[in-house]
Amino acid sequence: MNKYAAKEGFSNRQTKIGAFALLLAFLIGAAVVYPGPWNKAMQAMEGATGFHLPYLPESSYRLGLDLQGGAHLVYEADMSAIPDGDRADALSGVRDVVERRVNAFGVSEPLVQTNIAGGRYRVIVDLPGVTNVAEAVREIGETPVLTFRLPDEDIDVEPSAEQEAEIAAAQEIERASALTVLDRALVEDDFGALAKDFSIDTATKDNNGYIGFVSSEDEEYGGLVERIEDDNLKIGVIDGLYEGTSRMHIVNYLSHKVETEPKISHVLICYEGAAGCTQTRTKEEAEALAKELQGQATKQNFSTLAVENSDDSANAETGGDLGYLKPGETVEPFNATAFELKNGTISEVIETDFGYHIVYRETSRRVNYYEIAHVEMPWTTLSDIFIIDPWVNTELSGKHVKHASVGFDPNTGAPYVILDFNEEGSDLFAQLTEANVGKVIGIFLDGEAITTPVVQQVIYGGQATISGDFSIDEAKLLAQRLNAGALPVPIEIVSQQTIGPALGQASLDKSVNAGLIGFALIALFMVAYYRLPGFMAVITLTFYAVANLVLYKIFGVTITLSGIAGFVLSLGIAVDANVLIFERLKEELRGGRDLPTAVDEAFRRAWPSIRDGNLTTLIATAVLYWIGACFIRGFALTLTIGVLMSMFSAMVVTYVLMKLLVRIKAIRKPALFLGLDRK
Amino acid sequence: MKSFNVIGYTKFWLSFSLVLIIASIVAMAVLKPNFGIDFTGGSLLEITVDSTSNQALREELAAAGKEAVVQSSEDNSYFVRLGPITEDEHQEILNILRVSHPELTESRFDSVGPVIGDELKQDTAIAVVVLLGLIALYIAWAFRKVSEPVPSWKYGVITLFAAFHDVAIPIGVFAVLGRVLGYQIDIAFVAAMLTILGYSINDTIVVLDRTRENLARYRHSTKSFGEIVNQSIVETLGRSLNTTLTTLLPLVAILAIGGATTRPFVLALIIGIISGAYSSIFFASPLLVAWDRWSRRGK
Repeated sequence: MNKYAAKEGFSNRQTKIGAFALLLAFLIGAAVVYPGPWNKAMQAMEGATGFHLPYLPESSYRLGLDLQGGAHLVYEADMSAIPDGDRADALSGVRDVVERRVNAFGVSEPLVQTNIAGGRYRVIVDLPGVTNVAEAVREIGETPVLTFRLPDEDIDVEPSAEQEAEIAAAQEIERASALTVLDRALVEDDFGALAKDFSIDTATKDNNGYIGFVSSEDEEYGGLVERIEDDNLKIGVIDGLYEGTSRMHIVNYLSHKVETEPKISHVLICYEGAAGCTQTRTKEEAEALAKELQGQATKQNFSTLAVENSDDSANAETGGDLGYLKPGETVEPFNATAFELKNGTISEVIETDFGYHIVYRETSRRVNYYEIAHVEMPWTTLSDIFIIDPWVNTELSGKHVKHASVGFDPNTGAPYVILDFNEEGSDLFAQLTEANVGKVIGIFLDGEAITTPVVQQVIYGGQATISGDFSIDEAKLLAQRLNAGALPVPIEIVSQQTIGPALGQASLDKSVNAGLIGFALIALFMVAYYRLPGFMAVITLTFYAVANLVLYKIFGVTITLSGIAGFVLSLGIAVDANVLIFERLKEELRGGRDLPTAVDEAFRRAWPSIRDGNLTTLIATAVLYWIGACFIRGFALTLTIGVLMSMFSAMVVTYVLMKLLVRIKAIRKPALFLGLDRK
Repeated sequence: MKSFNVIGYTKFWLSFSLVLIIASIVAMAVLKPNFGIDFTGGSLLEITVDSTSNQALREELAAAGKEAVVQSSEDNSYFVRLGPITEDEHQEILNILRVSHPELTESRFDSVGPVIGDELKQDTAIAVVVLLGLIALYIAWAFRKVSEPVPSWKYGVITLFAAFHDVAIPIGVFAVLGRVLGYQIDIAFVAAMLTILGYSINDTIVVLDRTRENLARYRHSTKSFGEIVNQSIVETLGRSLNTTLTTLLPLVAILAIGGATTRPFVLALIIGIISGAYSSIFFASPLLVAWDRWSRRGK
């Protein structure tokens, strides 16, 4: 090997070594891509000689969801209640819980990843081959969110100047439009038409805006009644807007009436089978008891009788007091009796669906009722833009629950749910109770406070109970759901892609076929146009394809539909390099060089164009990969691998093959190299 | 091969390209390309039913109060496009359709929240700007050598014009296809355009680079500027056509039998690559000559 040869190109010996190394690499690569025959051969070898080369793993390619079917779900976690520093932790808690859920689906290789970008916290769930996606989405979505919260001691309810300005601006606009409607209401006769056109109260807008009778006790319209009475307003549309709590009203005052409302107490004696009754006495026994009590009842002892005997658990303790009754508020004949009695008298025993009643009318009052209709319009207030949350999250959350079970209160028999914390959870719970003895801790499920016990003492040992207002079935279901995992923060699905397995398989078949046909078309073209070198290029291309597949396997590249497109496109680009070299070769041969030096020269001169040409494509694929959407990533990745591999295969494989070829004197005919010579 | 004369018809080729570009811009402005759900947010349902029509499916949904755009694909499958919907609404819609089509199978369901769509829009905009910046840098680097009689920056500007040409035409074509076949400007289309920017720009650079070499080599010959440019086109023609052809062959195979999912993507690539090959021969070089003539006349 002389210096000159080293500079100009491979010597014969180098060419041979190179060719041998490439052949070996190709065979190993092919065996990795199709391990079946190799492993069989090794088995045979082991049987015959007791010695064998290593077996190759028969793993398949990692197929993307679009090729094997499955679901890609993106969830976003709501971190608004978590302090900045703890958010990443909370997110990994979400991931763990979701992973536990997902593993229960029994899909082959679920992938649960977290992603934090631009202040958004996401969990990405890939479920390859999952058949019932709707079920999976529902189950993940149903994962309870369990949080332990403390009352917020410094709630800032003062709106900022900006918020005040925001409210004022919104109100100005709303007031203007409400006034326009009011002006029309005052001059036009058809209040119902205005309600239909402008009212945002869907319950009344198609019914002339009719609300009914309201009194000064009404929560929304109490203020209105005061105004009617204070200003002694006449019947008709009220000349002025009425601001409700978060609505603006234009009111049509229809009529006025005065009602007498009796103040009523009662004793209920019920019997087995009566509505809502838990007693076991018979109807006859109940009637007898009721009559006996009626005989004893006086104005003075009525309250005591009720406390001792009444079966109406809602008011027995307060002496059977029902307060002032509105007409028709209670069932008949209770209603009629209540209104017919004189003040300070006790009724005979009367019967309703609930059992036997003794009714006492203590006194009565007169109440003014005003019949109104309205056009309801929007009215922005502080509560519209300012959500006041009196609770703050603690670090303890659903992710610390190790196990949940159902227990029963020995006194009342009411079911409750027992939470066993894991080690970290136990420590947190002990710290939490220690710091808050005598204070309230809120246990929140899916954002709702289910129980707010006062901490009596420090609790070690990591157990808490949730004693909400459960039925046995609800308690069981809750325990079951908590056992499957409880989230530290709420999550919401923001994006979903689902591919049916049949479509995936069809796509795979179609694109593999397309790839094979594309390869065949290129091979045909290259051989037809460039003859022998073209054939060499086809061999190179085969090497190239195998090398790519080996890389996909070794690096576990996920192959997607767009990834196959990238690979197939890269086949075309891989040939490009060969085309560049062969076009150079033609020029060199036309320039009068002999074949061996022309080959070296062609490769040397084509290299800068190949390098530069691929560089721009690589810049583009790098930017594409950065965008990161699934579809593009697969494409960008296979195209990048392909472009890099194509440079190597053209500059090394084609080169070695060409050097081998030109050593055979019999084929050193320009026609075989130049193809269709156009000169 | 004699007289492959591009430069002789400079005005014709430039006018032709100009007409194409203007037509594309007009198509874009007038037809308002359909943006895909990956940008706008929304959902896409692909279903297979025995026999029905777009109209029938749309009416079945409308009767239940669901507004949808229905498009037929191949083999009895249909794309149903809706706004962003929840999993419950998704099941509800399937149930509505199953009333008349109990055999319905769902082969695909994509749902993209509007937030994700906005993010992708933003990321894509950044990607386009970054790529254009990188390409401008690359062009500056590729034409960094001093050259006579045409200054290097002119080659750079022409290359950028050619790049614009390469993506303007597929965008125009897709605006029309959006009307005719319901093709959308989605993330796949953007990926195709960015790939074209990277891939096709190089072809233009090769042709212009050869022009620059030849201008230096024939500085003292009697050949005119136009003749030298034309010769450079002819010298690189084989390379241009063959690399384009070998890249197109496998893409055409995917277009023909690769299935409906990748078809718009591959079609965008094909149109872009053809447009790129065309521009490096029939747009960039004529533009160089026209610019040269114009600046001489100015003197």
